[in-house]
Amino acid sequence: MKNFFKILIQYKFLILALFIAISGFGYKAYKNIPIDAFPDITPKQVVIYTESVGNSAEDIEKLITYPIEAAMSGLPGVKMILSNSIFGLSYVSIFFEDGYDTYLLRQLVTERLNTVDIPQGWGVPTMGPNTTGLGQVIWYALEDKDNKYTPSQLRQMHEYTVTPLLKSVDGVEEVISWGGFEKQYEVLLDPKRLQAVDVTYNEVIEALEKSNQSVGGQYLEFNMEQYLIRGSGLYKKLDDIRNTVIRTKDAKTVTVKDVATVQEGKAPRFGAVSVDGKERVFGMVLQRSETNAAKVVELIKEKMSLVESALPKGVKLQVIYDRTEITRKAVDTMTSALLTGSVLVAIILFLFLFELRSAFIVIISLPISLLIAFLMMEEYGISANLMSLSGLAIAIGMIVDGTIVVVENSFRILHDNPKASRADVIAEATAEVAKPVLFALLIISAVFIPLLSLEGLAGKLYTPMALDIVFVMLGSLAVALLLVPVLSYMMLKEGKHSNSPLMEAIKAFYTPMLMFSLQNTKKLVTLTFFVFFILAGMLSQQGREFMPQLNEETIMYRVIAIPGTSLTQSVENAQAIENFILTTYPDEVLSVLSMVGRSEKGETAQANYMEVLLTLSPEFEEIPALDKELTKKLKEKFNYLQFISTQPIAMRIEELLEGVSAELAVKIYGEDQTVMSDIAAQIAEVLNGIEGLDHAEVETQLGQSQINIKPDYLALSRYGLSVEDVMQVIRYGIGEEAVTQKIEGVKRFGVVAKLKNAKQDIETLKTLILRSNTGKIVSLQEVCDISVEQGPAFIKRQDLSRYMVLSLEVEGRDIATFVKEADRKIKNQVNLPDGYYIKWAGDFKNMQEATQTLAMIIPATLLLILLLLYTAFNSLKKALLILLGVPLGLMGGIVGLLVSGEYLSVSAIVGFIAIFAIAILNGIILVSFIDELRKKFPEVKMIDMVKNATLLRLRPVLMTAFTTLFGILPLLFATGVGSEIQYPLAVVVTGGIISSTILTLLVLPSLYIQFFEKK
Amino acid sequence: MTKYILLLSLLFPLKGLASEIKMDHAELKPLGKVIQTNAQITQLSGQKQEIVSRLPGHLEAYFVTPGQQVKKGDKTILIESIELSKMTAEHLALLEQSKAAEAQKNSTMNLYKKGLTSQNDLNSAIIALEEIRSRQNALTSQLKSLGIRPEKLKQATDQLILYAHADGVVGEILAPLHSNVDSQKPVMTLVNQSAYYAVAYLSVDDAMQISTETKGWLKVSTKTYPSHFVQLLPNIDEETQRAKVLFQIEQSPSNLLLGSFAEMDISLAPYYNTVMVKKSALTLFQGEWVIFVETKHEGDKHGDKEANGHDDDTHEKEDHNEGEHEDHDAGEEVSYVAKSVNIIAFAGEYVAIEGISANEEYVSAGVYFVKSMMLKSSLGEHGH
Repeated sequence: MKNFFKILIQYKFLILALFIAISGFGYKAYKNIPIDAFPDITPKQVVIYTESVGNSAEDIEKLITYPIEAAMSGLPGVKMILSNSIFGLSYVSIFFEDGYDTYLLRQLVTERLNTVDIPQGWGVPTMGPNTTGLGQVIWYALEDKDNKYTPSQLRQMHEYTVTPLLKSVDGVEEVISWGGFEKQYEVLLDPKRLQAVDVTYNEVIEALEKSNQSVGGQYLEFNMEQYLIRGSGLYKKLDDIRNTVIRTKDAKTVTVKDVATVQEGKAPRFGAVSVDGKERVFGMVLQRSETNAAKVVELIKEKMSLVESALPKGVKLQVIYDRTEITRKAVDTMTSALLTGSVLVAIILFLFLFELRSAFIVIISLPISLLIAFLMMEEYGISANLMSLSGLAIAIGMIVDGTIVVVENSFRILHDNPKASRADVIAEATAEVAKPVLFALLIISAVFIPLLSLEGLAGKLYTPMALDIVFVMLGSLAVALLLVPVLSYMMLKEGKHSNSPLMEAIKAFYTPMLMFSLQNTKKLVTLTFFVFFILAGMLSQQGREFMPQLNEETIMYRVIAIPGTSLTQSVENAQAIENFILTTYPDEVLSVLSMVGRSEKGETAQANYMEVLLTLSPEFEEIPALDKELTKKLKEKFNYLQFISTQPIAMRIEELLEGVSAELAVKIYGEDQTVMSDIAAQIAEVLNGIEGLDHAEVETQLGQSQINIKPDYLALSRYGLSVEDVMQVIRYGIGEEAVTQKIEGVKRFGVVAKLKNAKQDIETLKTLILRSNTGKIVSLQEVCDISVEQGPAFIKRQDLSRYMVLSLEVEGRDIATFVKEADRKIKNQVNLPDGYYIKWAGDFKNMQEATQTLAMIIPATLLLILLLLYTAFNSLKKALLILLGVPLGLMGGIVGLLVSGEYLSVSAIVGFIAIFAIAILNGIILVSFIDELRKKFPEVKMIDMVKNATLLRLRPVLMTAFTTLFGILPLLFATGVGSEIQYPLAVVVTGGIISSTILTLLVLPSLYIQFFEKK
Repeated sequence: MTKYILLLSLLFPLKGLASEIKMDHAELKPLGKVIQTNAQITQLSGQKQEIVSRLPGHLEAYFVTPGQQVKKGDKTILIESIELSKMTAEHLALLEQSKAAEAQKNSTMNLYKKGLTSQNDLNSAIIALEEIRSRQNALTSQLKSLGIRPEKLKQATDQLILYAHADGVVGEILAPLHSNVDSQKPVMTLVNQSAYYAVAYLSVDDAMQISTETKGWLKVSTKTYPSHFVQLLPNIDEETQRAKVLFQIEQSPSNLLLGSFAEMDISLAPYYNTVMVKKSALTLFQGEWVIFVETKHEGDKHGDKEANGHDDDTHEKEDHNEGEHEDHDAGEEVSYVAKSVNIIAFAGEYVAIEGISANEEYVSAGVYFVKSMMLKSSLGEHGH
């Protein structure tokens, strides 16, 4: 061992060069590392959506959603299948186990999709963009400064100029257009004119379909040259459509213009976007999965100037939301915490060591260990995010521990043996501590293993943190054992062992306390553990939550109107809200954006749903207060709407949690939606009185008014009409499905054959005139049963079973106890019919899962640590003694949590785990040293020896404690974005370090005596 | 009959919504139904008049051309008729004869007065005169009917002029010029414009509701022509399976194209007065059509149907002033109830319904907001 270190010292320049190179690469890695707000927590997911124009939720569920679900359920690695069938759209989302390659999964899904049999004309299933739930990296609106263009024109500009350019940016998967109007060409048919010229509706459709064609006719040779032959029958002008011949009778032709007006129109739409009271055209860029959001956004922003130059003068892109902004802020918060931590640690080291050279060696190990960690992060594809960086911040104090031990030992031995060869001495000194340092770092790594075992969301969030800690500890191990000996050899000077004045002061204060405690060992130990159990009891009563809310420095609302609200009304609502906010807070709010309904591509929101995002003035900081005030005002002013305050990223994360965007929800499974709705109402009533329930919201799946047109076969046969004739009229004439397309360069616009006034009123619809090809004329209501009824607005299914969600918002109470009480009440008071059952879902479920996993893994880890300690000390007693130090640390953590009023979240649990490591480290330092002394002076009285050993070890114990403490302090006082997530962790660790250090110095010596005195 | 499907004493401040929610009283109105349909412009065969020469003759000249507008009495055709010349000659002859016979009668009378002749002679003279006169009268009336004024006839003529017997438009010319015509064949048609008709094609159901009071409005390009019901034609149009209803167009338009289709609004006769509310008051609520009314009395008899335990929220509005609905103060609380109704028929902006009594006050505008709030409450969202 010693020889190894001697060789290191011998090749010192090589080692230096190696570390300089590593640092260089580390720096490069640091610069290139993908930056994100969160680790990629989104599950592996493939979305299949099928646009089925104008069809009802029930039909779509039966004819599209179910076949797709059934086909997909057999795929390998499927974890869960969620689906939503809404008016005009089937949306199936397949969640896979992590670890499968996205492209492989998409391939598999495509293969299966080919086997799905969907009726002709019901739409083609399409795979959703390859992006993650957090893939919406940038939102922008088209700004027409001079108000020169119509919404249709702007929409076209977006679709044909902006989208292709932005899509060419590396890492962009899809650009979604929203708002404005899609242009279409309308053949507005007058049923009475059709009747007069003896033409049926279907003949018009057929004529339109047949006329718009283009073909190739190969070539002919003429005068030794080739002439290509083209048949170009595509519609070029509107007159081409007008002159389309429907039929010829006795040399009298009936053309489209005889029976219809042809004009430009607007396609029916499902959503709209409004900014500051005005409808706008809006775009959303989706980032491809596994790409670097920051990089993609940077490239998009570069491209935007090109896009703007391609747009007509006066039309600009106005960025409304940039997800990386919050990312950058979060990473800034963490980076500054990391930097401040490093500086604080450096100062502490200097104060304790009071010697510049050794302090320098220890301090230099900090950045190098971090750079090594970055290098490994890049290697393992971990992005720099709130969680991974906070791992580094937690570890910062511990990084230096190994180095301190090595330097301190070298310094001491060098001091004691001024004559010996420096290389020898340092090699010797390093070899002496190599084993404890190695074990200590191994134990620290082992402590964080439980985090790696977490599954689901918690796992995705905390694994990067744990891995980062392991990485940085490995880095610090390499630095401590490879670089530090070399640096010590080159830099340390055998000088006088200068005592730090700080140390002297602490010693003077500490000695009497230690004496007192050593004299009252039994009482002290009993008291300590008594207090521990009380605190543990209090902790079990403490509220729990999965993760504190990330403050994204934005205000956003989900606004829900009653199902069936028309888009027109929703846009009016949106604009009223926008104007209200802008007039109420003209200084604080710069702009308000509302996204109503859905964009035309594969989203499941309906017209009664909107998301309202506020752009706040950058100087404004009192965001949570404003949010609260505004929410109250909005609820008062628009008391017919529901407002749910949220934030962009939080909302997407919530939605990913099993498709429930609420922190807590009851899912009711069953078949009949009416029954489920009743159950939901019953549950809501039962829960009504429970303390802490802010509000319960039943997802109203029913309540969509429908006009149901059922063909009456007998009546149809009487008039010589077929069901298809009727359905054709409903689909094309009323539903405005494009019959053919008018192609203008690369642009394509639907040509629809719309029946005049068909959609004016329910009455006009009923009296719509049909004409059979035998000439019989009849109104729609004569051949169909037309009923107005209410049906499902959407149908949600999970793993082939329908479900309904009752979302709950709990305030002022932790969710776990709430769920316990609520669950009991529901079981006692709500009678569920056969085939119906409930499950709890939402954020809470993640916490529950995480807690359960941890409850299994933590004891196992304890065993592992015990094993490691046993290997290191070769004594079970000592190993146990060190483990007994753990509760001493936990006590402080619990006190910290109780005092700050924070809930027990996974973040806090990570804090407790960190304390584990610190307490064990403290114990190892102390116990191993007492052991050493005992070996050297076996005759000395136990109590004296313990006292001396403790006093001698005071400096390293305090140093490791203080470095860890000051390393984490910046997190405690941080205020930036993301700080609230790490706050519970910082609170726990701070409390834990303080108690662990004080009690290690007082109780552990006593315990040692208790354990070993009788021998 | 009145069914309350959901009684929520819904209380909310009208602030901000006062302008959106409007109240109205249910009205009693005659219920008529307007059907829109196609109608074909037509003329009944009798109205196309044929001009026939009563006398055979040679068609000498036409005074008119087809399509020309003619008035009653206008000259249309000139026919040279030997018959007529015979008749006129006879007429003139008879005129002379009657003069002679009259002179004969007068002298016989004088003679008889003087006792110079017998009663018998006088009688035969009178008879001879009367005989001539009756022949003369018959001929005169014949000539008159041919358009010839016998008193002006000085000499025999063969020129028969056919006059238009009504206002109208010259239709077809049937006999070529210089051909011989007889008294059977029509020579020319004259279309009488006052007799335009419209055949409306109605579904059998609608046709059965038609009564004598039924009115129709025919829309030809930009003009609308009122018309009245004449007859439900006995045969259905086989091809289209539609009943045919004949309407006569009341005013005589100048130029309608025969056989062309036009749109026609037909209002069936009002059959009874019924309760009507504005169409904007209707909404579908829990699967049924409802309108919203204010709850007025405390301890409402339907209180036991209170849904979802909202008992706590039941504060009835005090001193509710019926009728003075417009001056709700901001912040005043009102409660509404959803009343299920049956739709009888839509009539323009109004709808006839069952389930509400006449003069009852209902929410006629802003129904969406009331419904929103009701549904929101039923979701159990109440801030605590």
